[in-house]
Formats: sequence, structure tokens, C-alpha cells
Amino acid sequence: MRSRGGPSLTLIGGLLAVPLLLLGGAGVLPSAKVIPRGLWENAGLAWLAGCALFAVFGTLGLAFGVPFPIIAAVAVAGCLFSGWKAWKRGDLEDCRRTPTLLGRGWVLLLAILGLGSAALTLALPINAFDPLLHFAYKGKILFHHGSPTDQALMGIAGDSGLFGRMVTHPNYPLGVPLLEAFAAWLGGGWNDRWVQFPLAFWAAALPAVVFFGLRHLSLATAKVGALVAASVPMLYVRDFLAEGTGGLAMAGLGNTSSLGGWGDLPIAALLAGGCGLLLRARATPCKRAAMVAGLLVAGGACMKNEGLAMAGVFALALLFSGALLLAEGEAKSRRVTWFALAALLVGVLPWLILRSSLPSIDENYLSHFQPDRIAHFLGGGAELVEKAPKVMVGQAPELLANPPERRMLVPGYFGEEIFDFRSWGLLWPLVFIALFAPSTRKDPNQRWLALLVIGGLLLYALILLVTPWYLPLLRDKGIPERLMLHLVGPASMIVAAWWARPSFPSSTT
Amino acid sequence: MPASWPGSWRKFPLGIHLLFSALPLMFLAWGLLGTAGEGFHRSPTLYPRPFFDPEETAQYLVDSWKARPLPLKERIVAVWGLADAPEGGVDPESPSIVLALALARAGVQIRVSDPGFLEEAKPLLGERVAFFPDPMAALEGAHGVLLATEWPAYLEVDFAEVASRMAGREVLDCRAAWDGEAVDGAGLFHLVYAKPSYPPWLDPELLAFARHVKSKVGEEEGILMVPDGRLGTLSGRARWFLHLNYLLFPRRLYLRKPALACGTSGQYREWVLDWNRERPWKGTRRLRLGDRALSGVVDASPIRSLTPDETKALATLNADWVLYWTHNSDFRITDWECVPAGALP
Repeated sequence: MRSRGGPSLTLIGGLLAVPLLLLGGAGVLPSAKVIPRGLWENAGLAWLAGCALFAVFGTLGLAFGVPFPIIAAVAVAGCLFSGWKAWKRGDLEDCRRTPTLLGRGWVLLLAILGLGSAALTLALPINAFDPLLHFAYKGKILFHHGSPTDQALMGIAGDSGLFGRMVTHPNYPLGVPLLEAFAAWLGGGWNDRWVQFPLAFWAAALPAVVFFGLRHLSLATAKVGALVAASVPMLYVRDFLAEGTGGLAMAGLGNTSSLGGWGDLPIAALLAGGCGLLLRARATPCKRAAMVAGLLVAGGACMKNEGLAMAGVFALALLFSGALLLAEGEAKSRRVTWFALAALLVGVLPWLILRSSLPSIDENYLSHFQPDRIAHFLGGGAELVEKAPKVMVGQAPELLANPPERRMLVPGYFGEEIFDFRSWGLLWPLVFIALFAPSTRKDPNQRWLALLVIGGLLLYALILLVTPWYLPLLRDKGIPERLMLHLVGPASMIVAAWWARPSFPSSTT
Repeated sequence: MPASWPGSWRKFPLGIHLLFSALPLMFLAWGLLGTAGEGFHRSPTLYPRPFFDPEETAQYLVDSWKARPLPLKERIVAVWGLADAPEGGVDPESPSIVLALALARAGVQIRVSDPGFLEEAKPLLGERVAFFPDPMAALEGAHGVLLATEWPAYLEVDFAEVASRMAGREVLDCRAAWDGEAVDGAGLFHLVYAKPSYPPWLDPELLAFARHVKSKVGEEEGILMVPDGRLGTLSGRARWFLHLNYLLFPRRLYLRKPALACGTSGQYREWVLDWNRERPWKGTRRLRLGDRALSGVVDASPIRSLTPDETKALATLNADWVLYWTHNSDFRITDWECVPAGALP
């Protein structure tokens, strides 16, 4: 596809993408009469559902060779139809009548944080390594060539085996590039600033869906959950002011921001949305809400490789918490949970199909999850110091002579994060207090949220344990905190439920 | 009271947690104000001022000059700017003072100039250096000019005149402040010794070169990227091919062993080490193809003859252009040349 749009058209394209995705999600959600929600929650949920559906069905289309312009055109029609459906059933009116009981001060805080994060995302064109090269480059491929199987991506292997095309992380999911390409397609041209429109609202939507997910417990619980989530600095930036007030000059620059075209915040927002919807689906119970919950988590799998791992943990947490099988909850709640699981599995299939055809050069963790590799590092295997930059150039012989045990590094890094108040506030200490509270263990919903958080942390610890790269270098690049960011939604829900309900009943109603 | 106690103590950590929302509020406010100050454009000026380590820079320069035919004692270098910053002051710790003294002690003939603090600098520099109120006069017969303070007057200098006055061609930019395209256009070597805090994709010379290639190479055409010889650095910043690949899309850019070059930083280092170990450029020779398309430094072109593998790749990949480069952590227009494949012998 040729670029036709000038700056103003590309702006219009970006501006159009947001309401279209919002409409697309609005009609898919259950009626606001069945699952009550306020306007704010509805907007957050609808937008996340629209993004997830576009990512999942866009990936499905690409996996089966449908050119991107056709995917985009069908999406526009689908979004309009979906929006019409939501309007016809009177969702807006129902949402308007549903109270949130947030005080003006809290509304102001949430509005400033949400709208400010969107404004800062769009304040500059894409301006970080990963968003430019891992994601936007693939967005350009989709926009210009219509398919990820174009030589621009597939040609890295090179027909001759020696020379080929350049692309970083060729087997990364295409959710973010699809959303960027959608905005570019609507505007008729690629613009590094305006293609970010569909990526500007993750931080704004996350507290809204946490509120939604907890509303059935009490409005006070929902308010606490939303505020806990919105106040987590990592939702916007990590290690801010770590170097003192001199860091103010770098606000919004550098690679410490979570906002914009990175893949981590989308996973966090979609996982939070999936958790919120499933909590409400089980409480109502509502099959449609459960299926959309599954699709939201599947949407996370289409955003970044870790999203697939998180989808697996989500499914396992449901299984092991008893939310699917144990008789302690209502039968209908258990039944709708199976729908969520089914939608999740169906939702990640397109990406798994497409992924199998993409070249892999550096991000293939599945091949590293071998029992002997895990046993090696758990048994005290040394850090891969030979991959350290200094060692590679013949420096730091002391590191080579006396490498640390990796199993000691991994928990140390997670431990540092739990008490890194600059990035997390008190979120993680509060989560660990809540995890040990009897109320969390007794309630099946809290139990699966707890298992999701613990399982997520353990899985990421395992990933770091087997990583084929030099771990301290990954640490410098913001890992594991970028992984822990994915869990902010369920973590905030656990904290809020513990805070508001010290003697939590086992019922889900 | 006991019944409500648990609920009450929970408010305390929650309240503390909510106080941390001040951090994102500050981040968003400062981020928006900072970008607004630059008209919401991504540019190097958004980032902190590039700096240099005077002792390290002096040592590097002296070592590299020692390897040249011109004896150190005969080398004349004009140092422009002595103040810490424009409108700043001078003291014994000022980077430019330390640098000028270190070079002078090594035997280099140093001529200094500063529009505001020349008199104040005299007691600090003593008689080791020569003082020039007129910066252009300091250039007469000099082998290089070094920018240590980015005074506005220095940034507006006419480099054609600089080139005409100097005996040498080295423009040593310790503040990454000079317009590299203008310096190169005058046939001078723009050598940046500042440590830039801005990311590589904002490098002005990279962007100028990308514009140049876009104006020459059609969107449907292919470009084979070829290093001119040994890769001189392992610095990740030298992965300019990744940024050109993004900026020049949808033009097709090809590279040798791209899976390594585009992998993690560790894989990229392996790619560099592999290239230098295998020496694929061995047996090639330097070529002169007339005037250079963008660079004004005609005698430092990276063009070389192609290896049989590269020639074969040109044909099999249907590439129309060859993009040569000298591998450097600083993007210098001098190091890059894009030539039509048909023009190569």
C-alpha cells in the first residue's frame, strides 16, 4: 500500500481508530442491564475488548493469508455494526444511571493520570528502541505489504543463507503492529506519532477495568482497587527519579517509560480486563462476559511473547484454584468459567499458527525449558558470564574466573523489586500480606487471582532462570520489573478485596 | 473498637501507597512540559547536554595523533570555548581548561578563544597556550579546531571559511553541537567526542543521510549493505543499519548474516567478532568512483570492490544499490556512501 496521507490525514486516521475500536468492543460486551457498569468502566472495557478482538481476529486473518487492508476494512464494518448493537440495546443510558460513587478528588486524580498518560504517549513520535524496531517496523510491513509473510520479515533467514533482510525479534506477536497499521490505514499514511493513538489508553483503561471487576463486591472495594492500580508508578514509568531530581529532565524520554508502543502495558491492561470480566461473569453468571474475558487474555498473548506465558498461567490458575472443578462455588459459575477457558484457547490459536511460520532468531524460550537446563541452574549452575559484554571483549577476567550462581541472582532481583517503592509504591508488600490472609484462601475468586499472581511470578522467575543471555544485562534493561508489570491488575484486585473485606465470605455474590 | 481496628490499620499502608501517585503525576507533568518546550518534536535538544571527559578525550587524541606522521610538537589545535557553558564561568576544573592544559602538556600547540571569558582564563592556562580574541584568527594554519563550549556564535560559523584557514581538516566536536552535514560539506572531518545522551535514531547526520538516500533510491528498490572493512567497534550504538532499515522502509535493505546482527546485543557482538575473524573483505580493494554523492570528504570514501559472495547476493536479491559504511559508534556522513550497483566495476 502506498502512503497517501499527509500529517493531517494521518492524525484523523489515529483519531478515528480509537472510537472505532471502542465501538467494536462495546457491542461484544454483555448488556449493561445484565452486568451493570458505569460509563468510565464501560469505556475502558469496550476499548480493551475492541483492541483484543482486533488483535486476535487480525492475527487470525494474517495466519490464513488475508491481506491487511481487507482485515482493516472488515474491522471497520464490524466495529460500526457492534457499536450500533450496543447503542440499540441502550447500554449508554444504563451505564449513565449506574453510580460509581467516586469523590471528585479521586475522579480528578484518575482523570489526570489517565488523560495525562494518553497525552504523554502522543506528545512525541515513537521514540524508543523496542517500540520503533520490534513493533512499529512490523506495523510498517503490514501497512505497506499487507502481510507478515512478506520478505521484509521472512527474509531475515536469507535465500542464500548469508545475506538477508533486517528485522528484530521476527517472531514477536503482531497485536501492537496491527493496531498501529490500523491507524495508518485509516489515515492513508504512516506517521510515527499518530499511529500511537490506539496505544495511548492502556494506563487509563486499567484502573477502570479493575473497578469494574470489583464492583459486585462493593463500590468501596472497587474504588480502592482502581486507586491502588492507578497509583502504581510502574504503570507509567519505572525507577523515576532514581538519579535524583536530574531525572525530571528525562521524563518521557529514555527507555524507562511504560507508555506508548511497548508491549508490556497492553498485556497488563488486557489481563486486568480479562480478570475483571471473569470475576463479574462468575458472579452474575454470564457466558458472554466469560468468553470476552478469555478473548481479552488471548489479546494479551497477541501483544508480546510474555502474553502467551501469561495466558497459560491464567488457565492453570483457574484449574488449580478449583474455579473450574470444585463444588464449593455455584455450578453456573463453574460452567461459565469453562467458556472463558475455551475462548482463551481458541483466541491464542491464530497466533500459535502464525508464529510457527515466522523465523526465530533470539526469542524462543520454549526451547530453553528443558528439564536438564532447569536442573542445571537450580543445582547452582553459573551465570553465563561469557555472554557479558566486557567478557566478550576480553575484559573482566575476574568475572569469568568467579561467576555467580544464577539461582541466587533471580530471587535477588525479584526481592529488590518487591521493595522498590519508586516503581511500585507499596503494591507488592500489600499483595504479599493479602496473599496470606485467610479471606484470600477461602474465596475461589481470590484464590485464582492469587494463583495467577504467584504463578506469574514463578513462571517469570523460571524464564529468567533458563534465559540464554547474561542475566545482569537483562536486569539493567528493566527485567524483571517489566514482567511484573503484567500482574498489576490482579494484584490490585487482591489488595482491594483484602483491604475491604477482612472476613471475606466464600460466596461469589 | 477492636472490631474496627483491622479496617483502620489497613488504611495506613493504603494511604502511603496512594501517596506514590505523586511520582507518575510528576512524571507526566514534567514529560509534557519538557516536550512542549521543544514543540512536541523528538530532537536531540530534548535530552541533557552532551558532555565529555576532558582527560579521557585528551589521552585519546594524543594517542591517535602520535600514530600520525605529523609530530605532536608541530600540531596546532584551536580550542573554541573555555567556559563551562555559554554564559557560564571558568575555573581550574572547567572541562575545556583541563583539556587544553592536558593537550598543551603533551606538546600540542594550543590556541584558545572564548567570547566571554578569555581574560579570566589567562591565569588558569598561563603561558602554555596562545590566546586569540578572534576565533577565526586562531585557525590560521591550524591542523584542527576543537569545540569545547557551544557558544551561539561558534554554531553559526561558516565551515567553508574554517576549511580555507586551516592547514588540517579535523573538526573535533566535544559538545555534539556542530552541524555535521555542514562540516562534512566543507570537506572537513566531523569527529564527535561528546557522549550524547540522545538515542541514535535522532542523530542529525543519520537523518540527513537517510533523507539523501530516500531522494536517490526508489521505494521499490533494494540496497545491499556492505561494511568497508574491519568493524572497529562493538558498541551497540554502531548498529546504524537497524535505524536506516526503519527510516528507509519500504526500500529493501540486505545485510550479511542479519539474524546475528539484528539479535540481542550479545548476538550483535558475536556478529562483529565473526566478521573480524572471518575477514570477508579480504582481497578487495578501495575504489574511487568520482565525486561523492553527499559527503564533501572526497578522499575518505568507504567504497571498495565487492567479494564474490556480495556480487552474487546483488544478483540473487535483485538489489539495485550498494550502501558502504565504515563501522563507527558515531554516525558520520563521511563514513557512508550509497552507489548504484551498476556503477561498480
